[in-house]
Amino acid sequence: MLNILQFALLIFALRLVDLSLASLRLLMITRGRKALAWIFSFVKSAVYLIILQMVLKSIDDPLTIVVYAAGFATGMVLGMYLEERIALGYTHLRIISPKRGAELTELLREEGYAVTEIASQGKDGMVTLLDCNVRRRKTGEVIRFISKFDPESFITSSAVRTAQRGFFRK
Amino acid sequence: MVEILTSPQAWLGAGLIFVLRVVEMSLDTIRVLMVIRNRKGIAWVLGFFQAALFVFAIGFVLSDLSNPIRILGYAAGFATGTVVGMIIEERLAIGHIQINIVSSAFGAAVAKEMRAEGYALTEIPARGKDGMVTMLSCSVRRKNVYKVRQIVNRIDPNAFITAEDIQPVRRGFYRA
Repeated sequence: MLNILQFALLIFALRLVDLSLASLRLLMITRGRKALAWIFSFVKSAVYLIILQMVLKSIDDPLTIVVYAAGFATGMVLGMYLEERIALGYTHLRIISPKRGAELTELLREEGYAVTEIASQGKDGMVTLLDCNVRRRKTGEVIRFISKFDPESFITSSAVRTAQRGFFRK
Repeated sequence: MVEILTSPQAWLGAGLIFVLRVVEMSLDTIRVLMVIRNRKGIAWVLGFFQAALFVFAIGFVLSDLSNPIRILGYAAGFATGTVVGMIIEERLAIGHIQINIVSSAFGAAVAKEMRAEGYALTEIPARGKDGMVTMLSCSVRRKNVYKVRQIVNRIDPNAFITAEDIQPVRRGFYRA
């Protein structure tokens, strides 16, 4: 028979699995991957039922409730990490550089990223708008690179839903 | 164990749980869509029925956990309902998408064809690695995204296309 501590640890661990699966499931849903969404949903739901059954059996013990809640919270954060690590998809970066647009473009191209330059007008004269789609995994790296080279540049990013063709650095 | 697997009643119970969960998850998908669209009335009604179905399904499954087909029915219903919800969401295709097209040589031709088909777009001259390109910015209803892709591919099979979700702020022309 399990002692109290082992029981609590088991619930906590199962909850971590449950929540990690939940974030993977959500990731697959937003990416439109139906088969994987089905599999993750199925396992997640089954694991959840097992946890619920265990928890409801010893609902009188306050430790159970604490562990259940702590598992939920930790699992959620763990899921966020997982999601960041997997980082599927692409990011659309828009960079406005008042002075060093051309140099920045050249450097980004040397680094292997595809950039489209658009000459634009800002408040104090001509600026360059750089339009750049990168793999989500690379987003942080590219932003750091740009901020270091041209601290004056204005950068926004948004999630790309789908991309067709084009050139993406691995 | 064998008794459960051969008892038609057990299968009926599991089937009922499966159906309940499929319906519940489908309602959940539409509810989330309505919440995003700020349709409070419909969101309330859907939320109400979803919660009621959930309590019913979980109560039913917890009342007899020694029955493994019920657990399977519950999980399979959740999974199938999720996929059904995804299909409903795709079919409804509510919302707007901004399509960005970069074409190295056929920008003007793509723009002309798209306008002939009734889409509004903005042409922006831009520079790529190997010289001047045209960037076309085009906001369309989500259900038209596939058609736009087909038009672009017909004129310039090498065009670079990306799509992002947008919220229409004001005016503009959207093909019905």
